[in-house]
Amino acid sequence: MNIEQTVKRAMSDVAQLSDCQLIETIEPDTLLLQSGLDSLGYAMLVAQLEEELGIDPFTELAITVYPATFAEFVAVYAQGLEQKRD
Amino acid sequence: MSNLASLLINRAVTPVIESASQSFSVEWLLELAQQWREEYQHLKNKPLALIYTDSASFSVGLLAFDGFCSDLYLCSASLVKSIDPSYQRLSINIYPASEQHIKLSQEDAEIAQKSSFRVDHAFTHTIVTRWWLASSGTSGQPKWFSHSLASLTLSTKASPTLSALCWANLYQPYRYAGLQVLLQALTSGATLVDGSSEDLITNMKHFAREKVSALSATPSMWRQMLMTNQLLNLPLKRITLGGETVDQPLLDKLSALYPDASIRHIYASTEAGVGFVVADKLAGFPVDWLQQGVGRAQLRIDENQHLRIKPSHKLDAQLEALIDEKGYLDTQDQVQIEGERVLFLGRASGVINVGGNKVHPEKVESIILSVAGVLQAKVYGQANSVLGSLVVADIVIDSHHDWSSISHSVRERCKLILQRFEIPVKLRHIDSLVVSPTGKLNRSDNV
Repeated sequence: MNIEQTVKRAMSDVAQLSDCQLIETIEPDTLLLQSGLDSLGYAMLVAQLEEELGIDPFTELAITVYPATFAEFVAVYAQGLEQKRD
Repeated sequence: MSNLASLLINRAVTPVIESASQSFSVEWLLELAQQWREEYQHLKNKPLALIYTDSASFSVGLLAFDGFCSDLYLCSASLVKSIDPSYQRLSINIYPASEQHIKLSQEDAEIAQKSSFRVDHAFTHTIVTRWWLASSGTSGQPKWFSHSLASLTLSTKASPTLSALCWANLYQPYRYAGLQVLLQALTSGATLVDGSSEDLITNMKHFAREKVSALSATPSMWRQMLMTNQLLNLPLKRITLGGETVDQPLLDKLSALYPDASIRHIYASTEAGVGFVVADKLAGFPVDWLQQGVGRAQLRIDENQHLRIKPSHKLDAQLEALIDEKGYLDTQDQVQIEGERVLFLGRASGVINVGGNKVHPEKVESIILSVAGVLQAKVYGQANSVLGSLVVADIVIDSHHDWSSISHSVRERCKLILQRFEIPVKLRHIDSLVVSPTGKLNRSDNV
């Protein structure tokens, strides 16, 4: 499973747990805050991805711009995993 | 003796409150406040529960009844249920669509708006009103703490620069942080924009249109705003953080985006009021303050590594048990000195801060323990980079029961009774929990 699929599956797991309703199709340019997850949902998503991938890029990377879209969110994780491998 | 109305009367620059559809000058709100006071003469020296509707209407109530009623309980529709039922309740709505209480004809309204303000005589009768603000208690029932206008406005300032600001309120004005924003805007002569929508992106677009230049929010709210891609549309000059521990990466991000803005971290609580303000863009506070004090407050660290604070204002009598013989209040915040800074580690009591919302572990534990088959439960916070902390529960079950059915029941019970932020995001099945000799759960390993 690639990172994008991992994130999408984690989003749907978290939506179920946190009683959020994800929008039908999440596109690369979908705004995170309009995907159906609220701030609690995002906090849970970051915690779940940390368990699965072993990284929390929001504490480990010096992110100067926060991700606003789904594609940017996935890119932050891709970058984090790459740094972890190095 | 000053009341809120007298602080605003005859100001050179007067504030304005903006909603999505209307704008109210403070002269106009004072006119309405005078009418409310006249209409409710019987409330003189009596307690009143003021129910929040919107910032402008709420301000009318505060202006009318501060210095007039003995006590003002600042309520939402749900908080008012915890107030003594014999107290008068009042929900003011000054919007034209629901003017049940306002006895102004359109003509009167126009005259009042045009006239210079002459109602100061109406506010001359003044007593010191106790302002009551609710904090979430351990049992889930709100606890009420009293303040005075003087203590609530200790950290508010007025200057030409401050009066030029346009504030937006992301907090509820009947809570401590929201009231601070409202009072800062009113007493400094600034403009205040209501964050009327539930949706952050809609609010941010509204704030951008109104050119909001001052914003107060929890660190979690700031992180969320950073995710909207809209933050840079606001010409921010004053950035205020509070309600949670402020971390250095967030301060660095905000100061990189707004190098010229004043960035202030307010250390305050509903129970004790404002303690101090840190404005040097660094996490924690300077270690020198332990010797010198800050503003009119004195600080020290006790033998349990708790921060103690001695404010200049009088504290609510309910806090007596937490105040030592020299007048220092135990804030229950654990701190640690690192180099030249004192850094915050978390709450000693185990209270979990989820994005600025307090979660009492005992309350969540009691609900988990009410599920058949659960023997022990321990609820604690797990560090989270989005909301500061999330709630996690360790659970010991009777070996005759099945974990998947019990965890399902725990989730269902929690959903039924708790607010969303209080529900554990993770349930961990463990074999046993460490209990101290006094029979209490050992919370220190998770603080």
